[in-house]
Amino acid sequence: MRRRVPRLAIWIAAVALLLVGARLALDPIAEWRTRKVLSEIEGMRTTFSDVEVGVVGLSYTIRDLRIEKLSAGGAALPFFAVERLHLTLNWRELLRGDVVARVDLDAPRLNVIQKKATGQPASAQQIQETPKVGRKLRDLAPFLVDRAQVKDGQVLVVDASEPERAVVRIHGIELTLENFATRPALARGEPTVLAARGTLQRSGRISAFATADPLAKHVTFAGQGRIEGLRLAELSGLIGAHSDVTAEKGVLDMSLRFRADDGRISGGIRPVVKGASTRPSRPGLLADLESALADAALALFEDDVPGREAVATTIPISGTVDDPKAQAIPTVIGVLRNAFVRGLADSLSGLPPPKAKEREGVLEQARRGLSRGGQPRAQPREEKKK
Amino acid sequence: MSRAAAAAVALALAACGHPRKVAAPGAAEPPKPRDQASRAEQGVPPEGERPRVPASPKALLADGAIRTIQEALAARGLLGRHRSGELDGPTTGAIREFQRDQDLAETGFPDRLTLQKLGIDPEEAYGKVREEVKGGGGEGNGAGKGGEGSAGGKGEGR
Repeated sequence: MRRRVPRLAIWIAAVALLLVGARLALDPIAEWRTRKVLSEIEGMRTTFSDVEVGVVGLSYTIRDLRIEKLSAGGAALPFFAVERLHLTLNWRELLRGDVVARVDLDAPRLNVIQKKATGQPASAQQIQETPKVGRKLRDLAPFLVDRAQVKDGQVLVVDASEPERAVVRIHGIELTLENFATRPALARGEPTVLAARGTLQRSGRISAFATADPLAKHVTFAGQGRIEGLRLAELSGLIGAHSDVTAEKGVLDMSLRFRADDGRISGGIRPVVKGASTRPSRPGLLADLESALADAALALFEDDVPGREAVATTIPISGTVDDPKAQAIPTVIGVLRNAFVRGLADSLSGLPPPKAKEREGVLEQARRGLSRGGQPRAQPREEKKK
Repeated sequence: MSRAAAAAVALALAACGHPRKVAAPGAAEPPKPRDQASRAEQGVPPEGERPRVPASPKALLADGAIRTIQEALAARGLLGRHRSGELDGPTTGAIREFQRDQDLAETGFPDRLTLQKLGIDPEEAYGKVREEVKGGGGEGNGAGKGGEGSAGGKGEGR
């Protein structure tokens, strides 16, 4: 009996040492695996400061993750960065027998550089590359992710197709995406739900809500979005890059509602511009904006009603998503983006004409009116002769 | 007597406010803008085993769920008790405040995790979409319910 107690103690000590050793080795092993998985992203370079595995809560955290796109010249441009990526097991679902996790992204930053219509600049970072990175990040989790959360996110879109390199920035993004196409979500019979809030440029408060059927053969979703108080002057870079004028004054509010039933998209946008004073002189602004921002893969807005008034009028939208493999959430984001461009362009086209600096003669006014894409300018009043 | 009858008729008319239009038999009334908005909020109707795909938070939540959420927020001192069962500005503001306290994304939308942390069962709060599938509800089923914004829902007044 006396000999058994020390032997038991030795065994306990050995097991404890083994556990401590395994725990100490866990973080370096996780770090090695993370480095290996992320190094497989083609054309990208990844760095991070720290990887931590939580044994009690079964969690996995990467800190200061940075993914840079390597250009042909060897330069590395920031593509995606996140202060903290935290994966954790959903215990509530585990109690029901479902092994699913949730992912929290704190302060993620995504930089997108739009390509030119013809030829792609060496530094292009397309939005289409995001799923590739997302898939690799998902590979880091040993279980399915059923909930994603973004806190204080930012998306920066740089239009590299024009020398002005106009920037559209959505920041302060708070977003949740729940009920992915995982077994618990399907068992519950609930749709995938997206809810988001953020700020466009400095003043535009944006909100969006959408749900989708993860089981539908063709994309099936519905939702609504809103922009409030967006000062048009903050988009002057974007508008100026694609037209001869800039919107110096005015505030834009825009509401949007949409649905897609088995790939057929319908809905409406209601833009309201208050206090604006200029309008673009080029008729191709809409096309230019669409080519700069909109997702050409989505055949949207093809059945617009001609002759509608742009201000405070609901613009019908419709279209189809032909690709049966198209995913709902990227399509929803495409719809929101296209609707914003369409709403903005239609708002601007309904504003008063630009004013000529000096009074123009009748012939000059006629020339402007008759020229391709031209438009007569408002004439300043003649000063009274004293 | 005739004066009394005339006074009664006048009182009745005054109580009505204005004469009601009576629709001709078989004539369909044009949809009111509010009804259209309410229908648009419902999104894609349920079909077979597929649940409704709602276009607004109100259409996703079950009747009375918003009031339950408001009560939970009020119990935490984040919202006054006078709210009417609508997912209005003060309610979404209170949800955002709660989400900030709980280190959740401040969307203002009562997502599953927010509901769980509020002590509300998400299965019940999102019960509408499943009930419609069980009941074989079509476009008409639930459209009225959602349009009411749960103001007169059965689960209210707890």
